[in-house]
Order: sequence, then structure tokens, then C-alpha cells
Amino acid sequence: MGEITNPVASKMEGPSFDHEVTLPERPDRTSERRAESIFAAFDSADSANHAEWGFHWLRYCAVVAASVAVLLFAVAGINAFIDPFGIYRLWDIEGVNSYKPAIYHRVRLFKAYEVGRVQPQTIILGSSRSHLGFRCSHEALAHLDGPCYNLAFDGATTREMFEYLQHAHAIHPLKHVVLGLDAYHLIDATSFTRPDFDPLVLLQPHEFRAVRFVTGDLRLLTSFDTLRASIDTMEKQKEAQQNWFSPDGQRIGKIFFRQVEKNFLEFGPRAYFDEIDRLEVAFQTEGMAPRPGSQPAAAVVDPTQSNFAYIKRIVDFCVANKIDLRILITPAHAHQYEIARAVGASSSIENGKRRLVRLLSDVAGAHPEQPALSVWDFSGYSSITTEPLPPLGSRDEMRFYWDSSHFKEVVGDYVLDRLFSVFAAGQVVPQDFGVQLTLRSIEPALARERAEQEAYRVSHSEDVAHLRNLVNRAIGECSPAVFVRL
Amino acid sequence: MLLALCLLLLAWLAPNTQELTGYVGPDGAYGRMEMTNRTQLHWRQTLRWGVAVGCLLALCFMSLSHVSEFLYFQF
Repeated sequence: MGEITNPVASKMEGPSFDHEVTLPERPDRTSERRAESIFAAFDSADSANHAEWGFHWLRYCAVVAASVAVLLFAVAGINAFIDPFGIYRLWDIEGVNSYKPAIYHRVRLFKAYEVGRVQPQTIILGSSRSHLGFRCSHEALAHLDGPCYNLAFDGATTREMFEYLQHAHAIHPLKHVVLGLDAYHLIDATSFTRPDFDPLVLLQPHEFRAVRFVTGDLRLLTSFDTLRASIDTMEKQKEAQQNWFSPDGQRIGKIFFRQVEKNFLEFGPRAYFDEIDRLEVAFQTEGMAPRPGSQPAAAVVDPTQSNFAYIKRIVDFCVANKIDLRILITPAHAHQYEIARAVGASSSIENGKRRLVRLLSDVAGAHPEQPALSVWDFSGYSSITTEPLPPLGSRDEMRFYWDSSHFKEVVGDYVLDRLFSVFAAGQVVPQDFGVQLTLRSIEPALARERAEQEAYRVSHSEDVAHLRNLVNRAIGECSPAVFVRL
Repeated sequence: MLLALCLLLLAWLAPNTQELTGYVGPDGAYGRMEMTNRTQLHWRQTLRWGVAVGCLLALCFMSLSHVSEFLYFQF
């Protein structure tokens, strides 16, 4: 027990860097000064004691700084060498780091850097449907100027698409953009970003690349998470699976579903299709069931952050930079639209299509010197999207779909054929697949779609009843008013 | 669970920053305190402490940013 009267002096003595040193006590130690910074001594002191005291502090700080630098440099070196997220791809050594499992769950990050390597002049934007369905080797894209890259990724939102569009254009000026929109992009809701979206790795127009190097590369290279992923990468080399990432950014469905996706392999295509139906129901009804005693709150959409605000930004950006923009609404299987109808979202999707057409018409009106913009709608009910499902228990694959959301490459080829007016030898796009939406054609197209939907409901009444049951079970006691608003 | 137990032991038994540095605050701020002197671990302005503090600081920097992953459906 004792009074601590001189803490600094009592604790600072002891062995120094190379010999026993007792540091000089700071002079004129008043009670106020004890709380001041160590630099306070430099302000008022000019004695030898102060100089020595300051010298020791500086030396100590230099050791701390050097330790920080050495450790961070070592970690950055390991991470750059193993490169778990495929940022640099400097050394891909078999058995050491050639298999990079981390990138499959960080596709946004991987593609942000992959764009820097490929420097495409043509990009494909969209969600997992576009990610799976469109290949840059398609005749229409392969003949365009410069490299092409499929910059679509799972669950892409309109805001993310806009950010990646700017990023790709900042890396290399773009000439062509294919924009694949899903039904959920056309609903008037606030756009957002997914958990692995990292704006600090994306280049903004007129931004210095050195800034991105610090905010992106350096930050990632010195991160604990990256170090963990590096260790994980080395450990998993013996468990290497087939790479389902094509060099052009496409997710290769043939490899992913037939060799990697466990449920597809184990339970078969039909069971997998049904599973995705259930997931889609859960996704579309999420938040619809009211909590006990609570009143559902009205959704407030900030007009500057809505899906359409970002679609407009994409369109304006392409027009301003004279980029050829081709927009399409992706062809999900009819089951997806039946689920949307069961949750009461059909009218929202129809209105979304109308609004999209109006938006493009307005932009075209404001820029008469530029080629008119249009949108191709491949959603709805056609001979492609109404493909019959294999019988229950069957392990037969469908011709056009991996599941109700994701179409196969052959369908992607049909879409690109239509979009670029390509007529590939031996490949005839079904006549009823795809309609160009304009101010004039939109209403007849929507009316036709409603009629086709009714026909589908009659011809596939069991499927429709099953889907409606799934939705009803998911939303439980949800009131009709909630249906309409959502 | 084991990690939580270890961290609890660390929180309860390891010296705190005041004990490590011997800091008692400006006069009168904390009053006269009894030094329990339960540890021999005292911060000193030495090479070892400099390296240790530097490493801790580097670990803090490394923990500042996270690389989030994202699984959409089961992809």
C-alpha cells in the first residue's frame, strides 16, 4: 500500500533498447501537466532533460511505427501472394493457391477487380439470371469491338448495377451495355446494396486510381478477413472443385449444377426446381405476415433512391457517354409469375413495365440525335417460359431451365439473338419469345400476357394450385390490404 | 464457450491499462488510490514494449475492415 506520487518516473525506469536507462523525470511536473500529452514537454522545455526525454519518446514511437509497418507489410505480402479473392492473380500455383473458394461467395469483389484485368468495352449487367444465362462468346457479342465481360452477379440491385457500370467505364470507356432486369427491379421500392457490396473498391468517374489503391487494395490486403481467407485457401487446396467461373465472367451452369450444386446432384432437377419455387415463395412473402398486434407500416420510397431512379441513372449515363444500351426483362419460368400473381405483385410488375417504357421514351425525346432506346420483354408466357416440368421423382433435366428462376445458356442465346437481331444458323428463336415494348406496343403486349396467363392457369391448374398453396401457407393470416401494398 | 471463458478470465484477472501504465490521472481526479501491485507487468519505454504495442496497433488496423461474403439462395 502506498501513495503513487510519481507514476511516470516510477514506470518509465527499466531496461531500455540496449542498456539500462532511467529516464529523466519531466521537469516542472504540475498536476495539470500530468494529464497533458507527451508532447507538452517540447513546448516549454529547453533543458537537456527535456531533450533526452523527447528523444526516448521518439525512439519508442519509431519502434512502434516500425512494428506496425513490418507486421502489416508481412500480412499484405502473404495475402497478395495467396490472393484468396482473386484480386491480382499474379501467381496461381497448383496445390498452393490455384483453387480460390473464397471468390465464390464474394463475386462482387472478384468481378470489381476482374473488370480491371479484362478492361471490357462490352459488359452485361444483371442478376444471377444474367450471370448464368449470357455468354460473351455469343455471336452477337463476340463481334463487337473490344473485350466483353459478364458483370452480372447474384441478387444484383439497380443501385449496384449503376455503381458497377460507372466502375467499368472509369476503367475503360464502354461501347455496349446489356442490361438484364428482373421483375423485382421493376417494383417501386428503394434500391439497396447487398452485404458484399463494397463501394471502396469501385472506381468513380474522374477518381484517381491511387485513391482506390489505398481504400480498396491496401485495406483488403491488410485485413484480418483476407488473412483468414488466405489460410482457408491454402487448407482447401485438396478439396478443389471444378471452377464454374468462366474467364468472361459467366457462371457456367453445366459445371455449377451438374458437378457442384449438391441439391441439384443429390435430389435431381425436378426436386431442385420445386425447392427454388419454395425459396421464391419465401423470398416474395418475406415480411408479409403481420406481427401480432402491429399495424403494417406504409413503405416510404425516397424517389432519388428507388429502383427506377437507378435505372434512369443507368440510362442517362449510357446516353451521356454514347454507350449502346440494350435492355431486357429476363425470362424466368412461368412459375415465378404465378408466385408473383399469388402474392399480388402482378399489377406492380405491369406498372413497372409501363414506367420503364415511359422512362425510355422520355429519354429518347430529350435526345433525338441518339438512337431510340427500347426494352425487350422476355418474361411472361411463351413456349420457352412455360416449358413443362419433368415428372415428380424424375431425374431428367429441363431443356430451358435449371430452376424456375434461372434459364439455361440456350435461352440466353435466344435472348441475345433477338436483342442484336442475329440469326444464328440452325437456331431459330421461337416466334412467341420476346416482345419489344414501346409506348405503342406496351398495352397490347400486357393484355396478351394476361390472356396467356389465364390460359396457363387452365392448362396447368395443378401447378398453379400448388404454388398458391405454398404462398397461402407462407403468409398465414396476412390481410388482403397487405397483399395489395406489397 | 471456451473462448468466452478465456476472455472473462482475461477481463477479470489481467491488469487494466491504469495498472499497466501506472497512470493515476490528474491530481485529485481519482483521489488517493491503493496500489494492489498484483502484477509485475508494467509498461516501460523499452524495445519489447514498443514491438508489443506496435503489433497490437497493427492488429487493430487489420480488424478495421471486413470483407463480407454473400450467399444468395444457396449459391
